[in-house]
Amino acid sequence: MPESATAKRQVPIEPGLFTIPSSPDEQPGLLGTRCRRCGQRFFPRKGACLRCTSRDVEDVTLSTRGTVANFTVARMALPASVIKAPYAVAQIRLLDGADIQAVLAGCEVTEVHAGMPVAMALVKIKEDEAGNDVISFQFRPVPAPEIGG
Amino acid sequence: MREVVVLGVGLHPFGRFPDKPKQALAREAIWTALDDAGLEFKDVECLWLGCVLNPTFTAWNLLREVGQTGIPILNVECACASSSSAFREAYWAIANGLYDVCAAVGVEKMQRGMIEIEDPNTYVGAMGINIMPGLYAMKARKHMEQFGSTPEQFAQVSVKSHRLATLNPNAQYRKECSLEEVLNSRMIADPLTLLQCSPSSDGASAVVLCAKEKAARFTGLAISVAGWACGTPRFLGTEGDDLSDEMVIRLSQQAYERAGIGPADVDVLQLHDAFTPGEVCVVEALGFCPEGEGGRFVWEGQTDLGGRIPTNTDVGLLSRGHPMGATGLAQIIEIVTQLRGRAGARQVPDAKVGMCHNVGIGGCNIHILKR
Repeated sequence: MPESATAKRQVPIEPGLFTIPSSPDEQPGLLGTRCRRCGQRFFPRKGACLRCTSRDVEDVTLSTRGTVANFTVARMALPASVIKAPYAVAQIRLLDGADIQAVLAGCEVTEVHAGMPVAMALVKIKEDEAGNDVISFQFRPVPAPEIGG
Repeated sequence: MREVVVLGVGLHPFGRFPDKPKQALAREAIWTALDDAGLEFKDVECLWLGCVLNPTFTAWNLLREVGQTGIPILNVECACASSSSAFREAYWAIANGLYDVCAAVGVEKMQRGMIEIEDPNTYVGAMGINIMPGLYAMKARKHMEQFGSTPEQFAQVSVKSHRLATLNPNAQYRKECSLEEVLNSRMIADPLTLLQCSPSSDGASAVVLCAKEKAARFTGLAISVAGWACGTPRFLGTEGDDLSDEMVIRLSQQAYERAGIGPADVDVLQLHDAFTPGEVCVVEALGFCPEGEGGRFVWEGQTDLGGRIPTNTDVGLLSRGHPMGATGLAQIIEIVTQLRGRAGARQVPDAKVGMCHNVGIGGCNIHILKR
């Protein structure tokens, strides 16, 4: 039997939000939109600029790094969610100006603070009926970039 | 534009009524409002009905209960601001001379617990992003970080609401609770505990509006609509969410200008306290206290009876409950009741000017009413 028929695949939880690397030297990407008129960036993709309403927009890959703008700690898990409580949900301002909401992982919920530098990381959240890995993303704390580094 | 008055108000108590379909709740509310106004349903020329969940056919089903008179009707959905949106549509129609007598109705039936059931096959659903109190919890956290307000100050909003509930037979939850009980109730999303979240509920509300020049022939005690404003949050990145201060500041300024007044002239207030940070933050944005001082303002009792601006005197969403489609008009009804001097144990003495702030995902409506 050909190997491809039984090889496990990685599938995104929802198409069109992020890219999954197909080789080890690739990085995951966030799929967004940039307005050509005013420069504002958005996640997820938009067909027009929410800031200036221009329809002259382009698909871009967004920065996967940013800082926590605001957050809360959910103490009750939601019925449709695979994430167990307690977990931190943050509004993150990416380095290129887009905003994104994401679960924070890789630290205690008590360590989360506004201004914390974070970076996107892919995470397997479950398997689908075909046995593929279903992939989503979180953000994890990273050291702040060193000056001149 | 003509002057418009509220002629009649009617509330079906908020609570659990599993045996009553929406049209049964709604018809009681509108019959109460019509009796209050001294009118029959045949006098209503146009009807708007606010309802969020399964709104299809709701206005029509109501007509089939109260009178199939051939009038235009419309279901209005603006999430938690649905029935204040129904109110403003009725107001605009009369003010612009299209009709003389209109009705605005609000109704909702809800199940217990979290409102949204997300799709587990989406990023947002699978990751549990949309926690119901999430936006309010984040707003509270930022307010504490920026201005030094405290969890106790937010919790005090709930203490006040539950105390005022003992004065109001229409409140769903009529038991006082202490600050400790509020703070120690189950944590939902930091820093909001269960007793800082409004309960879901069934209920209905109705208001009859009339052109002022036609109102004298009816017996209802008329209260004028003096100012109004409506809108949605502007794009500000994540801060342009439905709790945006920018939106409330902008809209309240428009409403004050239309009414020819300022915050100092307002005697009694209804604001959207689905969760306690609503009260702390909105009193600032409406101009009742300087930015950042909302926590202290509430803590000192300035939003309580006897304070600078009695707020949510009928207990607001926190103790009244929050049947989403009915809340907007319930706020208007309490303000009208106060301005008419009929608020009994919770009356604000000599209240002449009242203000309503109602917000949902999809917009905010502010109304100013005057005796």
